[in-house]
This record gives sequence, C-alpha cells and structure tokens, in this order.
Amino acid sequence: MATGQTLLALASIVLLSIITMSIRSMYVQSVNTTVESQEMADALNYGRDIAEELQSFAFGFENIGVIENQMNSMPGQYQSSSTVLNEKTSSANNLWIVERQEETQIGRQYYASVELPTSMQPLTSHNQQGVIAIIRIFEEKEENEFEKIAEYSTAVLPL
Amino acid sequence: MGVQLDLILPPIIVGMLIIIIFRVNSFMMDSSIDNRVFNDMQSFAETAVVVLDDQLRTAKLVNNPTDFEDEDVCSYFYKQDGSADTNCSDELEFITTNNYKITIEKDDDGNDIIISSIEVDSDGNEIGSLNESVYPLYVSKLEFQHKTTSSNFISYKIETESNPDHHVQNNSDDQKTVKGFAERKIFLRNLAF
Repeated sequence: MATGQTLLALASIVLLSIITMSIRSMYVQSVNTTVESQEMADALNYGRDIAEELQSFAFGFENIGVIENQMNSMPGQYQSSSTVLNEKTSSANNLWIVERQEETQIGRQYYASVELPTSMQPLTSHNQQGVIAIIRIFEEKEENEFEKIAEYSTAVLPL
Repeated sequence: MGVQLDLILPPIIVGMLIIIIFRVNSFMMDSSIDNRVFNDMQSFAETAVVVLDDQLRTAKLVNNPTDFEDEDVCSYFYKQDGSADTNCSDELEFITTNNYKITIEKDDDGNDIIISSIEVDSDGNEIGSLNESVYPLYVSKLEFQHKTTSSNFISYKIETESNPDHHVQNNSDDQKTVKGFAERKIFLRNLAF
C-alpha cells in the first residue's frame, strides 16, 4: 500500500475514534447531569428536614438562648462550630454542624451547617420578633473536603 | 475468477456508514428519552412529597401507632451504622384538626397514592361519607417512619418508577426502567402543641 493510502486509512481510524469518543462523552455527560440533579433534589430535601427541626424549637421561644439550649441538648446531632465547613463566615453568628444520619439513595454523605443570629430580629411589619436561620448543605467529596450543594433559609417565629 | 475490489468496497463502506449513522441517531434518541423519563419520575416523586406534606400539616393525632412499632423493620430507613431502622409502615392514618380521619397508602395493584378521608366525631367514630382521592404518580414504594423517641416528627420516603413502555426497548428481554426518589421529614405542630 502506498504511503498516501496508509495515511488516509490512519486518518479515517482517527476520525472514527473521535466520533465514537464524542458520542460516549455525550452519554456520560447526560448521566452526570442526571446524578447532579438528584444530588440537588436530595440536598434541598435535607435542608427542608433541618428547617422542620428548627421549626420544632418555636414553642416557648422567647429569646435566642432557647433555640441554642435546644440545639446544645442534642449533642449527637448538632455540634457547635466556628466555621461553615469550607467557608469563612461572620464570627458574630452562632453556628452548628450536623451530619446526616444516613447516606442518600445515590450514596452521598451530607452535612449541614445552621447559622443563627445572636439576637432576635423583627421579621414582620408588626414588629414580631424571630430569627432567620441559614442552612447550608455540604457534601464530603474527599476526607475533610466539603463542597456546598445548596443553601436554604427559614424564619422561626415564636408559637 | 478475478474479484473487482475497487467496485465492491465503496458500496460496503457506504452501507456501513449508513448503519453507523442510524445507530448513532437511535442511541441519541434512546438516551434523550431515558433522560426525559428520569426527569419526569423525579418530578413525580417531588410532587408526591409535596402532596403528602400539605396533607400532614393538619395532623393532630397519628391513628395507627401500632403500625409503627419497634419490630416493624424499615426497607428504606437506615441507622448510621448501616443497619435497617425500625418503626416503619407503608400506611399512615391520622386525625386532622378539623376532625377528619385521613388514610394515606399506595395502591397495591397500580402505582397510585390513595388518600381517603372521612369525618369522625370526638370519640373517633366515623360519621361522614368516605371521600377518596387517587394520585397517579407512578409511585412504586412508599414508606413512613414515626419514632416514639421523636413522636412529633414523621418521615417518609417515596420511590417512583417508570413503565417499560415509556422507553425505547431494543429487544423484548430488555425491560428498562428508571427511578426517581424523594424524602421528607415533617414537624407535626398540632401534635406537639
């Protein structure tokens, strides 16, 4: 076979490989998008679960100390912390870290941080006092390496 | 017999190219339909969670506590050590603040959620007529967890699964399906109050 024919044959093989690889890559990308959307849905649902727990502290909620005491009374769940896992935050705010009890259906381990203000704030036009809690959901990618997946905030008003 | 390769090879190459092009198109259609169905299933799971969330907000009493005992092993809920958790049921019955008994369960034959409600008096006796709502949300699994240690909370998990007819099936043995999943934990204010 002449050199020209050999080069043409090689070029056609390379072209075919590129086409095959790009099709595979498209497929992998679409599976990746599917998994990411499931991750986001799971993280938001977990954020809502934490918000529901915070809402359960609304009974007898006269000052911020009541919520702090409730969270400190659950040491297996809420750990007081000074940083939001992978982020710098205002040291004025109170922080707790909580680990999700079990892995999600797609095998992810989530952590959440709960950030509360140091005092009650007016939350309605009628000057009703309460707090806005900021809940951040993280995934542990590597050991002690956390990536924020979602952020959620909820207003807790005394009941 | 002399073989004219110059005449035979080009039609073979063109034929193979046409087959490759059709297969690539079929593969892309297959993949995009799978993605679309997966997104639909995930949306159905999220919708089912929201439907139950709104129903549960009015609960003041869990009416089937014997279904949530320590020996009722969960098929979905796990402890931190990976072992199966307990206090689970596939059916939830509760009394609302306006005195209705609501029962939430999955239809055994289909993939629907059935929510039935009936008015009850203060002693729990049924006084109204049964009203049943069917939610066709492709639900394949539904599980509630109500623990005595945190009795003011109810957790539930929902799995939706597509029908093989929704997918492009390349051969009859290939019964491909996709699943969606959602879960939620609800604080029952009226029960806690």
